Amino acid sequence: MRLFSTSRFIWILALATLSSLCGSAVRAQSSEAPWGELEYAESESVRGLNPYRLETARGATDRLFSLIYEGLLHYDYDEERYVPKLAESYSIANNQSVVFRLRPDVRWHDGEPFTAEDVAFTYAYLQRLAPEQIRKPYVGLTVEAIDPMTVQARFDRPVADILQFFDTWIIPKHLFQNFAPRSGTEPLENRPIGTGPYRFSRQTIEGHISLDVNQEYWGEQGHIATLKMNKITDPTQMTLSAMYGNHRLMIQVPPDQINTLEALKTFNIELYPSFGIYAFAYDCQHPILKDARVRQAMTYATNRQNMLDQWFNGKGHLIATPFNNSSPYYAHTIKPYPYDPARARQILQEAGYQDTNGDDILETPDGEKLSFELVNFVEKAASATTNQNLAASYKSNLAAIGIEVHLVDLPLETYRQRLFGNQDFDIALVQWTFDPIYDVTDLFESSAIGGNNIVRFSDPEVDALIAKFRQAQDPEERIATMREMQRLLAEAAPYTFVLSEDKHAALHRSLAGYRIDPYYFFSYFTQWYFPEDFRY
Amino acid sequence: MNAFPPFPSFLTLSFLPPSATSQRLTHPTCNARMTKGFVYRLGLALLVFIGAGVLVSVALALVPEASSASFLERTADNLRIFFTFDYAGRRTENFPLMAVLLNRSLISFTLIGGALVVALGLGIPTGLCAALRPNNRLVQGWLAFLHTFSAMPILVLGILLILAATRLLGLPPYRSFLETAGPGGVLLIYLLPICTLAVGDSLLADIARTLRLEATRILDQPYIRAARARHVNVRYHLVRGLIPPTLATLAGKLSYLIGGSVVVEYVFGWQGLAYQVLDSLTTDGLKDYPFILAATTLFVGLSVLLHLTSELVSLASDPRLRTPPVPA
Repeated sequence: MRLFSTSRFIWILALATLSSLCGSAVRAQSSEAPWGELEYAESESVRGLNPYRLETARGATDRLFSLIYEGLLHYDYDEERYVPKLAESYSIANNQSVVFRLRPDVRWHDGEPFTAEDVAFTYAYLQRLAPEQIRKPYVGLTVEAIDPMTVQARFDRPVADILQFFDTWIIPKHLFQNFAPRSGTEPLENRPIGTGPYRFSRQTIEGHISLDVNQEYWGEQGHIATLKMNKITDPTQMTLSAMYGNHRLMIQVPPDQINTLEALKTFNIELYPSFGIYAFAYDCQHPILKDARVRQAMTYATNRQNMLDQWFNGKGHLIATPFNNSSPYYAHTIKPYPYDPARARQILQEAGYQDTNGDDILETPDGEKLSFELVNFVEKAASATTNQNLAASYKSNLAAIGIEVHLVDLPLETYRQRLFGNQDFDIALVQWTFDPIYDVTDLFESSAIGGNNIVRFSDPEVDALIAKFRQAQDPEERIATMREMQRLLAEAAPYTFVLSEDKHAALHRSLAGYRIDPYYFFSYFTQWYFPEDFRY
Repeated sequence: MNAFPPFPSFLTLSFLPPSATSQRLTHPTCNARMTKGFVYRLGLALLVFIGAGVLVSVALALVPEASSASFLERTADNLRIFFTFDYAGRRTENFPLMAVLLNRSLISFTLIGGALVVALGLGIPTGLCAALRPNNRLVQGWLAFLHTFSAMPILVLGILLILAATRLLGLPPYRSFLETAGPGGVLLIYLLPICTLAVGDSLLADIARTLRLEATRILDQPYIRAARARHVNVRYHLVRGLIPPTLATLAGKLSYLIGGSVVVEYVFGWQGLAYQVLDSLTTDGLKDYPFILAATTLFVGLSVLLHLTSELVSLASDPRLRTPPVPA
């Protein structure tokens, strides 16, 4: 297990071996009719099923949507590039425009044919949407249907890596034709219709959702007849449900229950990288925290290895920058700051912070205490404990070097408001999940202050690198630029990047051919199957 | 009117059917006082209902939301929903509110109803036996056993039972196992949470205790002792004397039962009313306030109704509560 996490290369190698092994088995039984039902559980409530409503968007729904909907392209994590999906081919004219030729044989789940109009409608719909987080990337993009099977997409500005905008799920235009906004439930909300390999079957009043295999799918058909998502809130109950045979799949095994499940020997535990990171964000325009030396000292004082061991059972790895080792931009050469409280104390002393009144808290030369407020969010029982534990560890780490931290636990709405709305915090514990190819530049560029640059970080050198990154067309150059930027960021320490958690899925022994997409989980679900011997 | 009827006529009374007794009590003054008492208590119940509505509306307006509506606007909106029963403005509309409410209520009231049946079915005989045979070792032992279990909080008792069932029977008694459990398992899955709710937080013990105390008190009355000394059956007096305190205990316990069902539903994985309220309240960005308000209406309505019933039964069964006090 540890082996995988240490090197990305080995991880990819292992996946490649696995998929080639499974590939032959799939071929051996691909002629058979789909068989069996795979049940799993999610802890989140699924409310609406419109993929583009921010308030209902959840990890749980995204996993299902990745089977129901498809984009023009799909990012393949093994090949590390975009591969055509609903598009048969594409041709990039320049860094502003691209033309897609669509597959002719695709039908929506309700039998209507899929056309270029649907693609044009989807991008128009995205730009109409109110939530800025969804709308923003697509502003200035025009998508036109040239003929029923061809679309042209054009940006009003040059963009880096133009293909990244086209893995968006396409939604059916014909369902929205007779729909007047605000007149009631939107289409797709209760009954999603896509083009994917599985179709929505039903949602029960208890919150369970079933998907059936799409027999008319244009590509390789799924081998498992039904995928059923159950709702279980309590993590212990979820594990017991798997242990006693109710579920043959667990998306994410809680770190403290991995050993229990492993000992059972009826499950294969598979490690897959998570794109989530934990970090402490500093307000870089705070009167004291704007001093990079203070932020560096705080980073030196944070015992990240201890946090990983204590709160994640050691399942994960420390990070020095916002990228973890599953991202192409990850820089191996930049090491996290070591845990060194003595060094931290020395830096603070050199910067002129001393404890003059003997209360074990440092003061500025003006006599102001080094005392900060750490905002943190508490959600439901399971995740709240992790966040709160991390915050508590951090507090005691900083107390050891004479910095006082007050913990402020907030519900998610208030927390979001304080971070992204009025940017009212000294320090914030953030838990972010990035798409692995997400370039994070908007977290650090000075023009994004007031937006995603919540730490109000501003550095002309970083800005210049970001501009260079955006202009660059050569992937190698982009990676080199991004690594250079990470070096500067590690030095300036606008965040103390803590760790990236490893996720473990439990798959019953009766499952074969599986391959896990680290982001959507089920992207390769059509290859999964139950071998003959295990059909019970 | 003589508060204590002469001895012989009292004895005959105990053999009269209830209809005959009630005839004696339909005095015009009694009727007027009964109506007055009823109206008074109905008013009180209404006040409780309104109070609960205001409290919940204000509390829900304090829940942090990203929306721009002010505290007062949100309170006003909640109050409007609570008192007009207009739940149309839900943001999560996969299933109609009433369908969800009905589905979850059925689950919850299976639990609560089952717990009541178990608590009454065990509590009444226990209380009566303890009153009638106070020195019986078996009864004493059973009482001690009951009190020990009742002292355990529902959370602890529930988890203990789950662990025991999982270990001994190889079946985690969660509701999600209903389909795969087989008949014995299904019984277990229903029985364990019901028993936890009935025994935990001392519902069963309180009923037994109330019954024992009341029954002892009644049996200790001189006229009952006299009657029993003459081998006269006093069952009717006993039953009539015991119904009001039992109902009062139950009415008082109902709010505990609802509170307890939250824990039991969570521990045993029952997606009932309490679970749904919790879920509606903790889902980020999609807090289902109309559902919470509707569930509150249901909970408060039930609680008020049961209190009202218990008061009315007391009024109907105890003439002293509605006859004018006898001047000294």
